[in-house]
Amino acid sequence: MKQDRILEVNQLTVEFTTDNGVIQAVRDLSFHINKGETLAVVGESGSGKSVTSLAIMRLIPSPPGRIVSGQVWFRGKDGQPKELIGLTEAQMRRIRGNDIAMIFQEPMTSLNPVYTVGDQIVEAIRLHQGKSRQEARALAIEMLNLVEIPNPHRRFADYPHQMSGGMRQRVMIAMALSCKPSLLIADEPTTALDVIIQAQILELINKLKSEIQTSVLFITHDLGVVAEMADRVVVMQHGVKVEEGGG
Amino acid sequence: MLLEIEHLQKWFPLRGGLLNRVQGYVKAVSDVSLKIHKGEVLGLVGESGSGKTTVGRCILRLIEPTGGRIVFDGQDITHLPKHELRPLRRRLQIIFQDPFASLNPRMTVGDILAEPLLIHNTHKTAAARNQRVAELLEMVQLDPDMARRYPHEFSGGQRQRIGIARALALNPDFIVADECVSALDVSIRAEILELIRELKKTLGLTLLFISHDLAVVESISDRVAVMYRGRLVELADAHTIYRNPQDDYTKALLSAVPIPDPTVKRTRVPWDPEAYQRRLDTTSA
Ligand SMILES: Nc1ncnc2c1ncn2[C@@H]1O[C@H](COP(=O)(O)OP(=O)(O)OP(=O)(O)O)[C@@H](O)[C@H]1O
Ligand SMILES: Nc1ncnc2c1ncn2[C@@H]1O[C@H](COP(=O)(O)OP(=O)(O)OP(=O)(O)O)[C@@H](O)[C@H]1O
Ligand SMILES: [Mg+2]
Ligand SMILES: [Mg+2]
Repeated sequence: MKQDRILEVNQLTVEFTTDNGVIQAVRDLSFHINKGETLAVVGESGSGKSVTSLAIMRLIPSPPGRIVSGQVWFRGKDGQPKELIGLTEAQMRRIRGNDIAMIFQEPMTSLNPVYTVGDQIVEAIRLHQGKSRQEARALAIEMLNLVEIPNPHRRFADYPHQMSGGMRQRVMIAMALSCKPSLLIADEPTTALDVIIQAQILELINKLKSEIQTSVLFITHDLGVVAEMADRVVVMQHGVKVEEGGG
Repeated sequence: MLLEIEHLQKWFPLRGGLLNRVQGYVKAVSDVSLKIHKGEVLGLVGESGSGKTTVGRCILRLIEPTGGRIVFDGQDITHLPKHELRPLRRRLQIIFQDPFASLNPRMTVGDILAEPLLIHNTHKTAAARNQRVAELLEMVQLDPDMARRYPHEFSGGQRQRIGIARALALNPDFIVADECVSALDVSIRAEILELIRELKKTLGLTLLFISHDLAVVESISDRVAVMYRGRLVELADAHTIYRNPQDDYTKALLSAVPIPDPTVKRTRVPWDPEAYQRRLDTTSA
């Protein structure tokens, strides 16, 4: 793995076994991300973008899914390259939410409906950072404030269903950014945001990028967002990379 | 006039303390009035959290409004009891903002789409229902073979299209489309928008089209309403509002749209929410 790279995906293939046979959701996919760089992944609906990001996080549901072949090399906060597909689940848990954070495409699939959003952010912070409950709470409120949630002190106690779609999306963003990851995977992170708040969130991500050299894998359908954020772009179609170019 | 909303209001109680008493309210919708003509698409845009979804859910009576009136096709439905709402359910549909949360994970997509046909007894045989299901999937650019799969086996954009197909199943008169194309790439999005235009023309379909994508709203809407913190701040026909916005929030919003061409830089209208809120409060007091 080259020194300046944070992520290298080599010949990744992911399959799902369904009643209708085997679906190759991602086929022989290779790409890399440099330190501090934002790579945008675009492509039509169903082309394998989310599956790619889930494979990097080792979150492909299995069965029915399976990483058939390929490697994912990642350089964590310790600077050492690790191959993620070969790691144990316990090793992977230490990387998730700490070294690599993910903003999922559908917030409701990853927020727990029975806990308040504040408790969920606090949990995420405490899991990876040696912070007291009080410190974590203060940081969580600060993060909610940064993602433009009005009255963050009060909203801290909201359950996910008490928030609007865009607020839930911002809670996910707050949670992901709170651990200052080396790699942020953002899967359509601003689809539920008005363009004014979207611009503030994109600025926030860019700030993190320049402050701590976070690299970003940014999945989006919005070519305006690509133009604003991306250093390079990968285009996917039917599970394969069909194009790659400068931003 | 197909739908008329007068002074709609929705407050959500805030509970807390040891006894879980009501300690205040989130005023999600404070005062919204609008009319939608038959065969019209009314775009609804606004700040995240401004109450757009809440307005949509009140219209369908999925939640009870705190105040105001909702009149659908000449009938006041604001407090209509559940059993009297049933015949209207067929005519009024919603495409939910969060497709995953709105699809039953234990049903195949075929069963999800056939369910309304069964409940309203519009397609009497299994063969007729299967045919309608295949037709609906094709309408939203999905392979009819996918009917046998479960919601979690789909991509985000595919799930969103299942939600659209379900809303269309019974040929409704009116649809609240809540961010219904937000997860779709440009080409499929264009085809879904074309489908909506087509249904509007052939069936006189009427929509409340909620979206954050201002270009999509412009392309599909006859008129556009802008919401900010529970209120409408501007309402005008689409052409006028995009070319000549009057309200300061609308102006700031339109100027913040990111442009796909990196060589073009748009100048954003400065946005000061505090000053704007003060003006709103004084004009409405
Ligand atoms: N659990 C699963 N079981 C079976 N097939 C799946 C599963 N998850 C995804 N797929 C299939 O894999 C393909 C790629 O899905 P993916 O979610 O990566 O698409 P995407 O590029 O993110 O699309 P979108 O832009 O619509 O979110 C799709 O055809 C989808 O139906
Ligand atoms: N069930 C609920 N209980 C309590 N508060 C709620 C509930 N549903 C919505 N709210 C609150 O009402 C306000 C308006 O929410 P709504 O979902 O209507 O916004 P929206 O305009 O659709 O936003 P977005 O663009 O982010 O989807 C928000 O402050 C939200 O937190
Ligand atoms: Mg996806
Ligand atoms: Mg909403």
